[in-house]
Amino acid sequence: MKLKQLIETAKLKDDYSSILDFIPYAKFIGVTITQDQQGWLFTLATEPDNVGNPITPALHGGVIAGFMEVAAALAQMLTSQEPTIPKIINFSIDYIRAAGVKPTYARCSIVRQGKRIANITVLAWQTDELQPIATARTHFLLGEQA
Amino acid sequence: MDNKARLAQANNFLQILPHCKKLGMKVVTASDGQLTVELPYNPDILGMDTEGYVHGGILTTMMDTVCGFAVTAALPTPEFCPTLDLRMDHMRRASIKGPVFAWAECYKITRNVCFTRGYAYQDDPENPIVHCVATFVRSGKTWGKGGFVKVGSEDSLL
Repeated sequence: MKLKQLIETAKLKDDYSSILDFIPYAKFIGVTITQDQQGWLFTLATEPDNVGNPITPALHGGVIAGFMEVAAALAQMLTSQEPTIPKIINFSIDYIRAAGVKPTYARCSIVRQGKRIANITVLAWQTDELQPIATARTHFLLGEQA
Repeated sequence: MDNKARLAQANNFLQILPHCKKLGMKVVTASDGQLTVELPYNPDILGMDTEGYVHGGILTTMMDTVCGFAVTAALPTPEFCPTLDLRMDHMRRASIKGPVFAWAECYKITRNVCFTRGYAYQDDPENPIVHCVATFVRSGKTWGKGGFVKVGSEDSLL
């Protein structure tokens, strides 16, 4: 199925599992997509296997980064008129607070969507959106039709 | 500590980190402030395509892990140092269905901050997949009985 068709069908059904089925890593860490009044909301489930530090305990920083990268790529695809699979160029993350073993949320902001390059920022939080656990900024290369 | 002991200690420590254990990561080289971690191929960690590329998030996880371990290997006494920030540059994609290696070094330690850099590669370290820089904050705490304890305290387990 073409990517555009896959995304349109998912939006019509308001069920994005068919898109996530194409991203093994997103399922591996437990990402889901919903939509609310503020836009796309990405959720990372509470998975004991996502723990990095068992003493605190805290989620692995790499899982938080991976979740935010997945969220940014999905936000780009879901909002694009002619979606393609975005290729990561770079990813920069600032860790702001320790992330407990509980559900984690992310929202993305598409700062610029060019023909070739997309610049996206991501905010991740757990209990309070105003107290983020991490912020990230990423560039994707676009343009290869799927 | 000699490098053989460093390698054994790093691998023992890696095994208690649930996410690293699930990924089957292992430390393959360890020296003073430098380490290499190996990640076996696993179809569950691929990105959105059918050609077998490892997802960028997994490479970030590897780099965060190996940079953090490089900090531990460089400090005189193991100390809990959470990641402050990390940047990944993806120069190409992992192109074969084989293991990925991640190397990192801690090149500077100050009273409060540890600076690291590293890269991930498959066949050839001269042709890396990603380059990474990351900084870590020293907490003054280490792993001890019942949780974190002050570095150097008698309750320290390391």
